[in-house]
Amino acid sequence: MNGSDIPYQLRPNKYIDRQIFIDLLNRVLSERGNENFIYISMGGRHLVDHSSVYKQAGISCLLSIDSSLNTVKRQLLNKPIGKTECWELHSAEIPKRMDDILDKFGSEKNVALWLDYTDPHARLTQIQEFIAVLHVLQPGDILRITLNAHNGSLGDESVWKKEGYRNPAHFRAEKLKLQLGDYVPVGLTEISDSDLPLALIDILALAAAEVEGQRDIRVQPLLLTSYRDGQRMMTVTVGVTDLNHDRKLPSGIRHWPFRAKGWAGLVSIEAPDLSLREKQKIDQHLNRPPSYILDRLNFLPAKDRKASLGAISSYKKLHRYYPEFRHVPV
Amino acid sequence: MLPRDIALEDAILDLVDNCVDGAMRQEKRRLKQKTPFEGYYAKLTFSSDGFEIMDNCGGIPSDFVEGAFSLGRSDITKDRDLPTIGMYGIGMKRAVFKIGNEALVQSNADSGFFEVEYTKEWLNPESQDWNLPIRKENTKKRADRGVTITITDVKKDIGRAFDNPSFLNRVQNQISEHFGYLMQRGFRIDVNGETLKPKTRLVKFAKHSKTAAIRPYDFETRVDGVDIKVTVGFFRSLARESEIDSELESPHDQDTAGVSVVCNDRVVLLSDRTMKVGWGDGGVPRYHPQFRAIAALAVFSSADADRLPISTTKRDLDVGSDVYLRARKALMEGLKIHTDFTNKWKGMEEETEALFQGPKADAKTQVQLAARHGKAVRGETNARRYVPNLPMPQTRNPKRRISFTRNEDQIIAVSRHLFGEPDQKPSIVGEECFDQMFEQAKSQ
Repeated sequence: MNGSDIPYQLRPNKYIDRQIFIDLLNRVLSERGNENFIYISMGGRHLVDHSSVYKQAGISCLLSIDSSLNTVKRQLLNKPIGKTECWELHSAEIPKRMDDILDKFGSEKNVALWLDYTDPHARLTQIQEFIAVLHVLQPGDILRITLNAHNGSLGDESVWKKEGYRNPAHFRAEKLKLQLGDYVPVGLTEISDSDLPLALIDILALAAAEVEGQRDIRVQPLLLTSYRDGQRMMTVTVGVTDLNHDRKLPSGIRHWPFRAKGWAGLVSIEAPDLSLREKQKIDQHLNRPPSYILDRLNFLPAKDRKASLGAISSYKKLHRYYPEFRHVPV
Repeated sequence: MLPRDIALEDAILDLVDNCVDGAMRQEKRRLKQKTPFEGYYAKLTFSSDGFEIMDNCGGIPSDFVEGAFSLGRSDITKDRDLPTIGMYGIGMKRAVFKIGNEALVQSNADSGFFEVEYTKEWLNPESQDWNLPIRKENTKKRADRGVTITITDVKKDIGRAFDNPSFLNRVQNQISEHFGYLMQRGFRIDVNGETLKPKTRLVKFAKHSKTAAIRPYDFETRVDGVDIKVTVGFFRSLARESEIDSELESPHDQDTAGVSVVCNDRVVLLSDRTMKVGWGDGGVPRYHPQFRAIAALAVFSSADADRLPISTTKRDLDVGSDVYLRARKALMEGLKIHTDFTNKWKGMEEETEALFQGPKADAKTQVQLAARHGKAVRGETNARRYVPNLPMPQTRNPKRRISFTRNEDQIIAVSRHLFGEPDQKPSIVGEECFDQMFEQAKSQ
C-alpha cells in the first residue's frame, strides 16, 4: 500500500496542506465571489478535494479529471453535488479542452485548477503541463501544482562518491539537471538535504517567467508549501493577473501569515503527532511562547527539547487546520 | 539588408563570437596551448533599459574598421589564417538592429581608439542617410584593449525579455554550451556579474584495462590539415523499457543524447540525432529513446579555419567535406558499438545499473584512449582507434521482452479475476498471466 491508498484525513501533513489551500481560496475568491469560479483537479476516486472545496469554499462548479475510466466511474458515485462533472481526461489535455470546460460551466467564470502530481519520474512533463496550462489561463485564475520533492527520487545518493560527484548535494543538483535540463537555474550547483522543495520552486518560477515572456500576464505566487507525506512533497499556488497589475497580493491575503513573499516564503508543514488530550493541554496556553508551553507539559513531544520547541511552534502555527479524527458509525 | 528576424539568443551569441575572435587574434601563436585564453573575458549586462557587452580581447583591428561599420557584407577572407568564426560587421550590426534604437561601439586597439554611434535616426529603416561617422583617435584610451558595445535605447519587447529570468537562464545555458570548450581553455564569460561555468560533453569512463567495463569508443586522425577526434560513449545508465514505453507518451528527462560537433572549440551542432551525424545509416539504427544514454562528440581543430567542415556562412556544417565524412564514419562505428550493447541488454537494463556506477570524464579533454591505447587503422597513416570492450550479458538464457496491448475493460476483468481488484497495473496483470501459464506448462 502506498500513501495514495490511505485516506488523506489520516495523513495530517497533507490534510493541513489542503486546509491551508482552502483557506487561501476563501480569501482570494471573496473578491470576485465563489460563484464565479470553477474548481478543477484530479479528484481521485473519492473526490475528497471537491467535497472540501464545495463545503468549505462554496464553489459549486466542480470538475474532476482522471485518465482511468474505472476511477471516473467511482467518482460519479462520490460526487459531492449532482452537477459535479467527472471527465475521463489526462491532465495534458486540459489546455486544449479549456474552452469545453468553460462552455460547460460558463465562459465568464474564472478557474481554480490544481495539478496534483506525485510521480517524480515525470517531473519534466509535469512542468511542461504547468507551462501549457498557464498559457490558457486568464487574469483572475488560480493554478496550484504539487510535485514530489523526495530526495530519494533523484536516485541512490549513496553512490555520489563512486560516480565522481563532490558531495550528495552536488549529486542531487546534477541528477535534477539531467531530468529537467534548461528548466533548472544555471546557478543551481548543489541541493542540500532539505532544499529540493526550494529548488523546485525556483524551477517553477522560471517556468512561470517563460510564460510571462510570451503573454501579457503576470504570474503571482500566492502560497508555497512543503510537507512530508511518506515522501516530501511541495506545492506552489499562483494567481494570474494582467500585465499592468501592481504585483500587490490580493487584499484577502496581504496580512495572511502563510502568504508567499514573491517566490520565497515557503511554509514548511511539520505537524507533530499529538493526541486529543495533548492538543487540549497545549490549546490552553496557545498564546504563550513555545518554551512556556513545553514547561507546562511533562513530556517532550519530539526527540529532544529543541525539536520539541519546534514541534510546539509548528502546532501553534497550524493548529487551526489540524484534522480531528472521529469514529462515525454509518 | 540585414536580417532582423534572427533569434535574439543568436544575436547575442554572435556578439560573444566577436569577442572570442578577438582573443584568438591576440593569441594566435599560443592557440595550441592548453589555456591560451586565460585572462580574456566578455562581460554581458542585460537590463530592461540597456545592454552592454564589454571585452578585453584586443579591440577591432584598424583594417577591419571600415568593413565592420559599412552596411554591406564584411570581407570574410580576413582572418583566413585564424580559426575565427564571427565577423565583426554582420554580427555586431545585426545585434544592434535587433536589440535597440541607439548604440555606441567603442574599440580600443593597439592601433588606436575609435567610436561609432548608431543614432535613432540612422537606424530608422526609412532613413536615407547611409553615412556612419567613425571618430578615431590614434592613441589608446583605455588601459586594456577591447571593445564595448552599449545599447541604451532597448526595444520594448527586447527589454521585457532582458528583464525576464527565464530568458536570461536560457541565454546563460546557451552561452555555456556554445562556448563551453573555449571557457574550458580559459575564456571567461560573465552575465550580469556572474561567471558562467562551461557545459561540455561528459561520458562514463573507466580506466583502460583488459577487463570489460563501460568505456567510450575513441578515434583520432588528421585529414587535410584538420585534427579530428571522435568519442562515443554513455553519459547515463540505459533507459529501461518501461521508461521508454511511458516516454513515448511524454518525456521523462530532457533528452541530451545525440552527437555534438565542435569546430575550433566552438559548438557547431548540439545533440543531433539525425542522419547528418550517422544515425539511421550504414547499419546504425535510427535514433530511438532506447538509445538515449548514448552521446558522442566530434571535434575538429585546425589553425587554418578554411579547412574546417563549416559552410562559407561559417554557421552550418559542411557535411559533404572529406574531413567531415571521415569523422562521420568514425561516429557511425562508435554509435553501432553502443547501439549493439543497448540491444544486447534489452529487457535486462536493471542488471546493468552497477556497470554504470563509475565516474564520467570530459570527452574532449580527459578521454585520451585513442591516443594512449588506440590501435593504428589500416590504410590510414594518422588514425588511431580505441574500441571499448563493453560487458556483454550471458547469452545462454537471455531475457526477452513480451509486449502487447489489450482494451482496458479486458485488463480490468483479468485483474479482478487474478487479484480480486480492478486496478492492478496492466504490466503486473500481464506478468501474472504469464507466470501462471508457465507454472502450468512446467507441470505438464
